[in-house]
Amino acid sequence: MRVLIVEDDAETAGFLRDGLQESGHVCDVHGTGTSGLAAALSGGHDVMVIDRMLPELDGLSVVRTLRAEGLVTPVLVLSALAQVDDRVKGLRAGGDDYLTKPFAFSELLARIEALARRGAPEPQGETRLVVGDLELDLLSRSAARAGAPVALLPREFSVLEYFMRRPGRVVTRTMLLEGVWDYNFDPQTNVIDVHISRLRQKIDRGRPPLLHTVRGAGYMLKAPE
Amino acid sequence: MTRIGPLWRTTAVRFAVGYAALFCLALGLGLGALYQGTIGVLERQRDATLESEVRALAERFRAGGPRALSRAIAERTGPEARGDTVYLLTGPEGRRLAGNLNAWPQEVGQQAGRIAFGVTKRDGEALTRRDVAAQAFRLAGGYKLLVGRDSGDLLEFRRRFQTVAIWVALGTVALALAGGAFAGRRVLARVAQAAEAGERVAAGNLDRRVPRSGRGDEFDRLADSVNAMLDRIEALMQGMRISTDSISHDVRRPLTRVRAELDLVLRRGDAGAAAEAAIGRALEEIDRATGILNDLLSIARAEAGVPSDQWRPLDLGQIARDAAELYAPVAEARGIALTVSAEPAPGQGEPQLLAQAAANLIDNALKYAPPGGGAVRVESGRTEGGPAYLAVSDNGPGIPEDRREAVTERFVRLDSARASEGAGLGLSLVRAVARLHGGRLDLSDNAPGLRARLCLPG
Repeated sequence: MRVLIVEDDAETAGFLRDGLQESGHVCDVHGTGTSGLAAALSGGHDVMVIDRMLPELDGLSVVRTLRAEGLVTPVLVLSALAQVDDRVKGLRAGGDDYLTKPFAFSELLARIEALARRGAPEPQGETRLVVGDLELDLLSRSAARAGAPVALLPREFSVLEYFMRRPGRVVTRTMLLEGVWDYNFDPQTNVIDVHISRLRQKIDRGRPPLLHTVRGAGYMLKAPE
Repeated sequence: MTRIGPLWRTTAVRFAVGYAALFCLALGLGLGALYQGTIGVLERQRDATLESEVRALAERFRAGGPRALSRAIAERTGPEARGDTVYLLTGPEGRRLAGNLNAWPQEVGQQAGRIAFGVTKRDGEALTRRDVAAQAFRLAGGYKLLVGRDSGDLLEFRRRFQTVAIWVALGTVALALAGGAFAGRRVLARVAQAAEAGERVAAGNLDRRVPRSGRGDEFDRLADSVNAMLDRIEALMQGMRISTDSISHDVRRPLTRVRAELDLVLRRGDAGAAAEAAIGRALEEIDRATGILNDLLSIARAEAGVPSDQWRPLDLGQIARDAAELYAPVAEARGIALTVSAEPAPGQGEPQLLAQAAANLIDNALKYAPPGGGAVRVESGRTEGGPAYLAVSDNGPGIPEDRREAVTERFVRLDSARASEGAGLGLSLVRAVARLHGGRLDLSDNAPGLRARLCLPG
């Protein structure tokens, strides 16, 4: 995956590049809005990480210009501004996701990998999701593990659906809060872990586990090899 | 413009009515003076003439008795006499002795003094009715004398004067009311512009200003002073935003670097178990510091009332249900009964901030309710007065009444040993969010425990 990083803080940009390269991705790093915009317009990136505060041309203007030019490459906006308004402005300018500093690298990685895959056509009109021997019927909103029905609460169903649409990919706690609960803040207590452990009891009990904890990052739903 | 109240309380209406009353008073005085100067003078002249005539005839009666008087009257009513004076002399039995009036006028009775009546007059073939103003006078021996003057022209003049006066008065009242209403509305329209600009700014449109007419009048002065105030508010608000933004930026930058560096070491996995454990703890602390920073900035912005264009109609009931549902597994794991009774509670607001406030209240209640036997209740609805509310009660130790205000201050915790998590910003944030929405946070005794209620304005 080829990632464009536009970040004026050289240290942060360096960490991003190192981390992404270690995860097997190729990075272009730019330190100003104008050079970042020129690089973005030259094309060939699968995903872009653009800081909001940049010298010469701010990040949101870069994104706006890209969108005006018809470029649809997914953009993750990195920002030191965490308020609801800031986030809305970032998404309105054409960003696909918004991450506030400081962030866990695993969070950023999970999000840009999710964004890059968003570019690929997602099958529409699906009525059934299958991971291993776990099945989800989206019409009847019912789940079954190895043919045996699993009783889920509506929210548990939504959480499981979120995982099953991203099999084998890291899903972070904040991604779940945003994607399933539509909350853009972090609750003080780590409520997501409790939800996951309950869900795990329902779908993984007495079977080879599907829902794994990814240390320091989040969770992953994966069929056993 | 907001409705001020009943019609009478609007300044425009009072202005118009006051204006009309003043006009009418001036007009009344003017017309009265005109009347006295014209018709009044003519009437007084006529009355004086009649009086002197009566006196002259009475003198004649005293000197020569009824016969002399009859003669005098006959002279005055002869063929060559002017026809606009009427005379009548009656004897003690009421019989007519002399004069050009056939009989004592019935409508005035037998009274003496100034009287008015009508007579029918032969004018060639035609009979015309004329108005007469007269003096009646009792003479000695039961004789009575009446001297009158045809005052039809004068009365006609008076009637016309009255008609004109009524029309002029009506026209004046109408003009005064219309003029007053127009002037009042023009004045009030400019006051309303100032009021509207103030309201818009309060609602978050910081760049709204009061328009100037350019005439340099009092309203331009008002507009200038209001605008100067609004400029200052806008500058303060922007200063607030810039300073929170730069604090945010300046603190996050080093945190981001440290976190990224530690992250990278941890990911490489070659630091050794002890170092990795330490790094893990350091990352947790960085995340905690970030959380505190986020809360502080949210509180600062909410307390400054920095407005948001993210407000929309929402239901506190739905927000309460969602937040309670998020915490349900946590409550269950701690052995705390979490009950929800969410009635619809429609309001206006920023959904994320209100959801965060609801989550903070539930989080707080779950922290203080006794594990294994605790009870937390989440409610929403509308109070009788109308405002929507969201309330969370627990059966924990509660807060003494004199400390309830203090706990909503930043960083205040009742018992620092009890609540190890969080920085004590939970209730401060809820209160700031409530105030930002124009509502409030009430803390009360749940007997036992605390009941925290967030109210939106009604």
